[in-house]
Amino acid sequence: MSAMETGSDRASHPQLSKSIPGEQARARRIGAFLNACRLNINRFLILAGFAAVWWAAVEFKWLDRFFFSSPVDIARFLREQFVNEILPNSLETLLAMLIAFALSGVAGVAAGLVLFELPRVKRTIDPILTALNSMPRIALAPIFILWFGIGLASKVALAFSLGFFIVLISTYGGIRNVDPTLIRLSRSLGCTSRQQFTKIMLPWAIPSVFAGLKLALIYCFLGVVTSEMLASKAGLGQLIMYYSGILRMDAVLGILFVMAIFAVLLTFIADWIEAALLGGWAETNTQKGL
Amino acid sequence: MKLDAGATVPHTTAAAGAVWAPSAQTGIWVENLSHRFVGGLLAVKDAKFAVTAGEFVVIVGPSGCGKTTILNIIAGLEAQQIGSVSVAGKAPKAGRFDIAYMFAQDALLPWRTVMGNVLFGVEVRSEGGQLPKHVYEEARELIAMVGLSGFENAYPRQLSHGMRQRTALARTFLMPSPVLLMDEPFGALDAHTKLMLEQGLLRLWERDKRTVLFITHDLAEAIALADKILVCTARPGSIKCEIPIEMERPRNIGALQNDARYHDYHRRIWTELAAEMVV
Ligand SMILES: Nc1ncnc2c1ncn2[C@@H]1O[C@H](COP(=O)(O)OP(=O)(O)OP(=O)(O)O)[C@@H](O)[C@H]1O
Ligand SMILES: [Mg+2]
Repeated sequence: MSAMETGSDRASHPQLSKSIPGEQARARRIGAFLNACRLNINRFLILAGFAAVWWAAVEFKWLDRFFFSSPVDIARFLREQFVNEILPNSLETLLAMLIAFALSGVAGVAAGLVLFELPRVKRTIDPILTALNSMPRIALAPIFILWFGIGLASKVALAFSLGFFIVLISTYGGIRNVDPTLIRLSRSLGCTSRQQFTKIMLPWAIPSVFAGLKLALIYCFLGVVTSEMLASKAGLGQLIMYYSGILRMDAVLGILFVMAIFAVLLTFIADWIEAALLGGWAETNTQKGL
Repeated sequence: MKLDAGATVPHTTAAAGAVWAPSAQTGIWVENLSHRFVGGLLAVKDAKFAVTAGEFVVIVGPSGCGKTTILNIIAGLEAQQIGSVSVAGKAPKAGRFDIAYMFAQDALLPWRTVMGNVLFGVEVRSEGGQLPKHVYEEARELIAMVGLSGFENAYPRQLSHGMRQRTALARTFLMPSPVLLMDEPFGALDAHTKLMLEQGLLRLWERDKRTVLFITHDLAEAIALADKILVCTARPGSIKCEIPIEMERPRNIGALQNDARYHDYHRRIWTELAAEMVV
């Protein structure tokens, strides 16, 4: 999914690739680079082709400019309003999202670990957690707005209510499904419970925690934008509501385009961090060829 | 050639009131051991055998007869129910530092390299202290012995099944425990690598004189390695017979095929086993 296919040769370990003559290794690197270039060119061509067809359809009046706008109008809107509207509102949205994501990450991982360590507490509050988690959180937005006002806090609250449970569940699940053979190993070696936790359980849970964090990132974005659309002083969601209110299709689509870019960038950064941290040991999406 | 340590047959010692005699050293004693799993399956019934200190004992038996269960009980991973078990004069307990147990599964940590996995056992047993330098050298030597030089920094997912098992083997050997429990350690290996590792194992064993209890399905392997072979009955497992392998050491495993005694042993054990495998 990411543009990191070039990174797949991180799988070839320095120690292993030593056996491959340098010549061949260089050829392979160049090949990977060319592949990545071709891939990105193809991606660009798809988008450009789509925009061209769209533009032509509007120019030749097959599509109504009022409902569908046009890539040219969208580009003009983005250029003209970049400094005034897009940039400040984007920062507003991203700030709320990052705060919510950081809180979800820290609180979610901590709660996941605590629940694992205290199985009785877990069993007691399990139905409550399920109830909270399966509630359509978006429906809480009006309550948060009532409680926290239409500033930063209510957006963060809604996004947090989405992200927290995702991270909590993936942390708990990851640590729960540790390979029983490794627990057997730890018992036979005589690991202290602390060693068992830090040397086996925690590392085991890391890939699953990461998967949860990546998902939480997207959901925090969703939470913030939703909250902004309902009531907010600033942010991309609020901007979209404003422009759709005055029927400015070019602006609405332009802002959606900006949001899509943010989503892609965030995913890309998350994939990159994951690959860097997990090194060669866990199969990341890139290595699985997804 | 009988071993020095093997000659010290356990005497009845001060273990007050014990009907049987625990070895004061590093031997393993099992008497009237039975084991029933939750759900009612009787896996082991009245097993009785002894491994004297420094002896290499191999268990063979039909699949599912309870061999792994016996090893688990000795290692303290499975609660002991009926009968008596003693390792070096003490009751079994999980995590004893004087026992190193190699499972049939490789049980490698996916986030550690070959080197990191090999060091893992000694690392947790050093109780957080810095490992002395010679341990790293020893680890490197063992990695070379199991034929994984050059793969020190590879992760388990980059290794084949056999390579992972060899990593687990090196991890087990690196622990200085006097008692080694090994559950089909060479199960996933090709004939050639197996021969190489058997020879390596014998070399290490002749150097350190550890007490070894070893499970295998490979009769040739059993004869090549053992001082004594225990043949299990079908489930519920008990020891059907003990066959001492009286062939001189050090043994050259490659040349055993030319030894008439090897074929005699093979036939004898096969006959015993075949009787158990008839349904
Ligand atoms: N945890 C368990 N719970 C219930 N039954 C078990 C358990 N572990 C093993 N058994 C049963 O006990 C019997 C003996 O199992 P064990 O693993 O000791 O066999 P084994 O002799 O090692 O076989 P193999 O040679 O195939 O490894 C089997 O029938 C198995 O189904
Ligand atoms: Mg077994």
